[in-house]
Amino acid sequence: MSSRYGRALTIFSPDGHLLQVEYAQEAVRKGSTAVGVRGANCVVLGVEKSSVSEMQEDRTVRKISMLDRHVALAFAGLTADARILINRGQVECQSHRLNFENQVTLEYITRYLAQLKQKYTQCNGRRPFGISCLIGGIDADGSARLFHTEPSGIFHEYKATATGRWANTVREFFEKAYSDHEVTTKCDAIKLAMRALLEVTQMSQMRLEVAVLENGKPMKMLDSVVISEIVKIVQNEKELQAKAHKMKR
Amino acid sequence: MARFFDSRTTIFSPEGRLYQVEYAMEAASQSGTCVGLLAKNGVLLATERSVDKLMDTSIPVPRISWLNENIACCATGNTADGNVLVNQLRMIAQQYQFNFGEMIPCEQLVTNLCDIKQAYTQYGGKRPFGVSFLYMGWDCRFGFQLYQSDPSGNYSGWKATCIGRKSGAAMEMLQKELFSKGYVSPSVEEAKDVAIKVMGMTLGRDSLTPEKLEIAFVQRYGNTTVFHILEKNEIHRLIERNNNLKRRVGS
Repeated sequence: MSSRYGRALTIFSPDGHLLQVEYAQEAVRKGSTAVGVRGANCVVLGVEKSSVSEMQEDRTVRKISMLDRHVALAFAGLTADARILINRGQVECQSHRLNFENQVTLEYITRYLAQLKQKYTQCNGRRPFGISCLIGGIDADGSARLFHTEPSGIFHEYKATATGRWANTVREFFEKAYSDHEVTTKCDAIKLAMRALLEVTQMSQMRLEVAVLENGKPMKMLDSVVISEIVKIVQNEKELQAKAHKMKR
Repeated sequence: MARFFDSRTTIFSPEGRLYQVEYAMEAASQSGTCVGLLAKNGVLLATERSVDKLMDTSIPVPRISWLNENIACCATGNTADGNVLVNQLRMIAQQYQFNFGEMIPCEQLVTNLCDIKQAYTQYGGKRPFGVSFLYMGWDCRFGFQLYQSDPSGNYSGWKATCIGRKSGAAMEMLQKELFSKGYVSPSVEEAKDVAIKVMGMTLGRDSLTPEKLEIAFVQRYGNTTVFHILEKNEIHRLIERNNNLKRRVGS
């Protein structure tokens, strides 16, 4: 039964599911992990790059891209789909600047992309986008925002969130570890994001991509040297904590 | 109307996979091998070509096609699909040149084509294109570049890569040849030898003949990019050199 209804492009199955959309979410669940953390005055996005061969050019493997000077997008899922969506987003950001002489608000651009995704779940003859996006950035009033969109076109705002393969584990981690005083400074926010990624990636084959957005500054991708330094610090802290825990016992 | 779009082509399977795309990639990975190597003074593509005795060889049908002054590519998979996309690539390159008065950057050309490929995996009710590409080119920003693109619409940049039949084994061989002792960017001459060696493996040693191989590279001389397809006798010389080397290693 389910196969019969799943075959046609997005339509309801008798029990009220949109199977194509659910399958698209499955594609996201297979994608690499992406995390986002909203700090007091910054947003940090981080992704795990799935094993990149040394024969590959690092430059061409990107999972975080800039939509505008103040908006960044990280994704999990089908890379080719993401490229299309990013393109549309970038164009909309510029078109908004042209029409309103103003930068987009984070909510506006998220709503735009989510609407686009929704269209692909209802229009004739197309499949949904197989990606989930984390959209982070700084609004004109200087406040940091972080949104999460899904293949269905749903979007929510978060303080910290994750998507992709280990999304649930990371979210559980955030639920425990996130508090407002944990992310007062930029460094703390970066560390929290990295800690979250390290929860689910193996150190040995780890390749991370981390982007930081601050008020009035363009998006900054962290250097691989800096990343490995922070990884060391995080690891040390983890060990110290483990020791302290033992001592208490 | 529903029939018109009633496609099993571009939909997700319950595991979140796109089977049609995966099958298209299978099609691409079962036809002629193509090897690409990035060198410090150029980029090189080598590919196999089918030989038919009845075919008129006085009319050359190059597998590696020139896209604009700076970029060339080789398609593997469904040849008819490949021809369509090569046309598209040339159009995109010329359109860019017309609009902006300068050569299209390599990555942008690749991205533009991949957008088209992606579109066929998402809507329209058509099947995806069954071709993979290797592109080699030069632009003023990143110098010499080598890209690979899939039927899925993904692309990536490489230092050395291979698509088509036996590409897995070929990749291992490239890894061993170039990366096992730490990567040093080869010269075009060295790259030619590596390409012959890899093609020798994928074709089988006996069928490694100049007729079955096509090797092309781009280099820079002064302010111009030069696209060059190797002559038969040059390929013959390379094969000889490779055989001699093998014999020496063997004994």
